[in-house]
Amino acid sequence: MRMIALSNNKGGSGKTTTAVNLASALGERGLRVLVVDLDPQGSATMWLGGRESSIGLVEFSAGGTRVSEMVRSSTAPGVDLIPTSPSLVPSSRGSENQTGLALVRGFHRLPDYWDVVLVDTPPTLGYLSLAPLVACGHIVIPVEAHALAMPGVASVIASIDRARRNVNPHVELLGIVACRVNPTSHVRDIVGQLRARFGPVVLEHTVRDAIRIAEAPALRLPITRYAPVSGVANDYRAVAAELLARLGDLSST
Amino acid sequence: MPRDKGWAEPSPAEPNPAPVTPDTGRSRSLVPLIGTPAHAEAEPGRSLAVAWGRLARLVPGRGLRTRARQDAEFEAAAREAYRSARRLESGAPLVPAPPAPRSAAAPTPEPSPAPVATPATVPAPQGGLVAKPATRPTTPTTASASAPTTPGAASATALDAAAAASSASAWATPPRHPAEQSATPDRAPEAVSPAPPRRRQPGDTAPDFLLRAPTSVSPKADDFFEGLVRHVERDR
Repeated sequence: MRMIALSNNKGGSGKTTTAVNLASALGERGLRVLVVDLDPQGSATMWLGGRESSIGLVEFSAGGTRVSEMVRSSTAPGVDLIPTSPSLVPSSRGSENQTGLALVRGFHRLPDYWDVVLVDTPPTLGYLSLAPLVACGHIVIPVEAHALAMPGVASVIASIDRARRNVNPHVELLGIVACRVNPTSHVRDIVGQLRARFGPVVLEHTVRDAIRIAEAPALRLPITRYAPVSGVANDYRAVAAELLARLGDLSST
Repeated sequence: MPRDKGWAEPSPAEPNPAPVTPDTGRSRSLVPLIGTPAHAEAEPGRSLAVAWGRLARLVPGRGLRTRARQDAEFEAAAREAYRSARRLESGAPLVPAPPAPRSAAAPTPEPSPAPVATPATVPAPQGGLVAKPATRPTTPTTASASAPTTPGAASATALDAAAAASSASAWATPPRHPAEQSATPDRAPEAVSPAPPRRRQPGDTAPDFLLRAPTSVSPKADDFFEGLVRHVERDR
């Protein structure tokens, strides 16, 4: 089981969109995929046809809760979902670290049933975005093709570096996915700068900007089901294939 | 159709036939030459005007004077716009444009410094402090400074004078046309306007500030990770 966190401290970079549609593209390939929604806004939960649940990873980490009580099926074939839950936001500010630790333990208690676990994180620098860096082995950074998105990438890379030094020496940056790419010279320039700065970790395939992506959440369908023959659906399929190639043998942990 | 009467009698089939000349039998009406407008029957006067208008287009040289005048007005407006753009580029304060006759081609003029009704020009209310009547036109800028006499009236008057002086100097040195500048190279050059930023070119490296992580990232991450380690050690 490979656990991949989609992380970027900047909002609107495409974390949820990539989590949902990458999961669906992986599910199309016959893989068993689990999406964990750590964003209290619950966008991935809603997109995949779920709803906020009172049982999440925090409750699961304490024991006494079965996986089947926490995991829900989704509208994407082959994709399961751990919805967002109110317990992700502790009532007292001092217990944030405890919640983060509970999340890490919850991740470690997940059964080795799924081939890929995708973790959607909120666009904040806090325990909800840092805990996956402790629990997951791979990080994917979705990035909007915009000049102001580049500091967000640098921020996540700095966090990965800190996590590797302090608590998780195995965490690695799997890839940077340029999202919402449109055929303008400015966007080409941004993607070129990403490649020049971060090298081959930037995926060859990019995800185009398409209105279909904006329409799909209203129907609670991933793009591979809402517009299966669209260009953007094929983009996500190509990104999924490229990430799988980077992951190598999924049976090895 | 009887021809001896000179004009055709209207027939039920043709309620409004065109007059025909007795000698040639050709229609005397102008309308058949250029086509009958749809509203001709409803507004005969208007149809005649339309007909004359269309005929007038055939007259050689018609409208040349109007066109020349409009060209001149357009040229003047374009020059003024160019001067304004130059002043903006050089960072110089905008000078109110001298009043010019309005025309359709001219741009909307800037607010004129004509006298405006301000507290300085309006009679003071009864029982209140009496404002010194303004003896010259006041601009909106000076009006606010010279408005009602208050304990700070002396400073307001000084501001008024300074504003008037600056306004007068601005009017005294109207912006020069670029052609004049090139024709008088002996004059001191104006302040060089800052060059516009160069557009990014493909292949340019990203500026450093875009590649730096915010300084709050590392301490925050360290705090969290160290807190996790402390929690785990405490639980053991």
